[in-house]
Amino acid sequence: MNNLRFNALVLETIERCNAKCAVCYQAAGPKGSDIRGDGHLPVSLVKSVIEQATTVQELQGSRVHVSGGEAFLDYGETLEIFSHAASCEFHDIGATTNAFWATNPAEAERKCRELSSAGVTYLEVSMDFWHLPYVSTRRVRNLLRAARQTGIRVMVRTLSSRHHHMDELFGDFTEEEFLYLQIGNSPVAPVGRGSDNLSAPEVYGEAVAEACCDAMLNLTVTPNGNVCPCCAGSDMTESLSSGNVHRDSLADIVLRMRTDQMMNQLIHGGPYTLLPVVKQLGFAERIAPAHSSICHLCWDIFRHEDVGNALRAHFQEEQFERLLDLVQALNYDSPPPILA
Amino acid sequence: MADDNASIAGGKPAAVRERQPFLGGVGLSLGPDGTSGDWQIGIDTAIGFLNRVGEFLRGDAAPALLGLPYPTRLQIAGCEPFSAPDDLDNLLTAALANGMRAEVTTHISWVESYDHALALLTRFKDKIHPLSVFVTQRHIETYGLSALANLAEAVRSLRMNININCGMIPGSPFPKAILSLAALNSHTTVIRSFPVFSQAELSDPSPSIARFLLPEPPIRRRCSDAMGLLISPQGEVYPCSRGFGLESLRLGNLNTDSVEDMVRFAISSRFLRKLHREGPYFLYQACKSSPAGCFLRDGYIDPCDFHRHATTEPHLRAVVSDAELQLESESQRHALVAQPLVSVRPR
Repeated sequence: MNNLRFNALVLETIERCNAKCAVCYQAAGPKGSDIRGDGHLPVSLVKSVIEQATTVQELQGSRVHVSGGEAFLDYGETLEIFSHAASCEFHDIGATTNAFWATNPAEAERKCRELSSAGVTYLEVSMDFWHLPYVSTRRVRNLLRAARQTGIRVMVRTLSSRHHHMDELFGDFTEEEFLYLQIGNSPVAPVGRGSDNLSAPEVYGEAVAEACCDAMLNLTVTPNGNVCPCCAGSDMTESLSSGNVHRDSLADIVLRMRTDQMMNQLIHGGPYTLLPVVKQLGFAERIAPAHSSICHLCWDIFRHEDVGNALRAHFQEEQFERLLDLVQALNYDSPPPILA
Repeated sequence: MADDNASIAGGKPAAVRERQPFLGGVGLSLGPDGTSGDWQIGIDTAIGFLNRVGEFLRGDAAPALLGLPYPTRLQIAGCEPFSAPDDLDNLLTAALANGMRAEVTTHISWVESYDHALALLTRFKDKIHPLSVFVTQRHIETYGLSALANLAEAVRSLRMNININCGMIPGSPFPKAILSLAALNSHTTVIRSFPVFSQAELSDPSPSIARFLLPEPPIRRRCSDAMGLLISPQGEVYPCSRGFGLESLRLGNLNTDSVEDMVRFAISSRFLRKLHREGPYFLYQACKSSPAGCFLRDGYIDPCDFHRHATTEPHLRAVVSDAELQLESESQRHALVAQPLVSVRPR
């Protein structure tokens, strides 16, 4: 595969989360994920993956991102991971968190100083209508103030739907808390637990027919050790895993990803280009009629393991046919033994 | 902290070294930020600058020196780019020809209606990625929230991406009303806010400004995110936009210096590398522990505010110059890519 580029190494270290949001795409909660179970990457394995990642050429930039679940449930372990990434010369180190640990201004500042010392340069803080029952905006505000004082960049990650816009989240914010605020908003997608709890009319849809994701990839390790090309839905499927760090080296997994024709088509063509094949293979009725984004569509196709396997077999067959054509074009009198 | 030159010249795996772009992109200023007037740079000059940088980016030295992705990010800001749409079109065509994807910063002052915005933007559909909109509360009051809504809707209908950059000015708070716009909630959107206080307001802050200031700059706030090849309308090149006009940070001038010399100078400078990796807090410490410490202000809005102050206030500037000289004299002038480094600043 040409131009396989990852923007970051994403380490989903834990399935558990203190919150159990109604739209969580990982369906995470205090007992783990409703979909993936209660996995947890051992810290020794995480460190090994970080070291292996230093030689993965497809990993552009210098970014290591830790997420979960809620990685800060084991604060000490997560701190250790940050330090290790920094010692391996990664320079853009951060995490996704819901800020539950920023219980008061002093605690937020103490932890932000520790995080900064460990090499953390940014945090992405989840705050939206569906997080509010579990984490108050007060804790996010504590974190924002502490992060500004310690130099950690913060992006507040919000989700919106037709009835829940960003403005309902920031009513309590003071002017000082708005300074240097970064908000990254996305429309909520009916993925994971959201597929049960979000009605179609509530979800904003995007016109995404021609879009692909080749500029948005992140080399993602899930809590069970699977390695996927992104952390936006493929990580919640088995069929888009190219290997597992419990048994494979990261280099081998990336090589497998590079040479997987189905992955090639998905990443560079976009998931919509797979729909005719899905229909041809007889799985059309398994796919929802409309999708909110390419990530939603991708997840909807590959969450069905049999659909994913059939697609992979289809593209392997196509690849084989092309190889045969190539051999014939080279005018072999007879095919080499391996193809005979 | 590891030796800066060791980290780029040896001792670490090559793969790690190569994915640390030092100057993360290119910026071209059409004139002062925050204004919506006519360009202060001629189109031929602007294209000439992009061609000079593009020639370097296509050459053999750029990947080894910078490790920049292709296409390379180009930020076009200052004045109002859409005040000269034909020139902007030509500039963006030149950017694409030089392997650059342009983010363009605009205002809402020119938006008359959705149809008007759509008509103007259509020709730029495949040339801008993303469109950034600079907006303040005063803009919203003057031009109406509908101007931003119309612009955002037009951008969305063309399947372009949009960022919103909110300037906070004393008496002009964060424009909260924008958070309710359907056009910003229905798609992935990044909204940032930052201060646009004047130097005079920061030097002698009123209580309404003092509450925004930090007692000292953050200990760790790397400059890496801000660094690039930032080109002024006169061709002056600086490593960051907040350093515009500061002689001590000037890398050279595109009218007289080669891009490669400027890049090599930047990369070989231990001083810039330290700023890249750590930010300017080490300079704050040096100033604070010196007799010139009494000239430090009581508060700073951000690390760049401190750095600018320390580079322009004569007593502090002497401390900063000493720190720079000390770092550069300690520097071992390693060859980066089998060519000698430029050891003197381009003129």
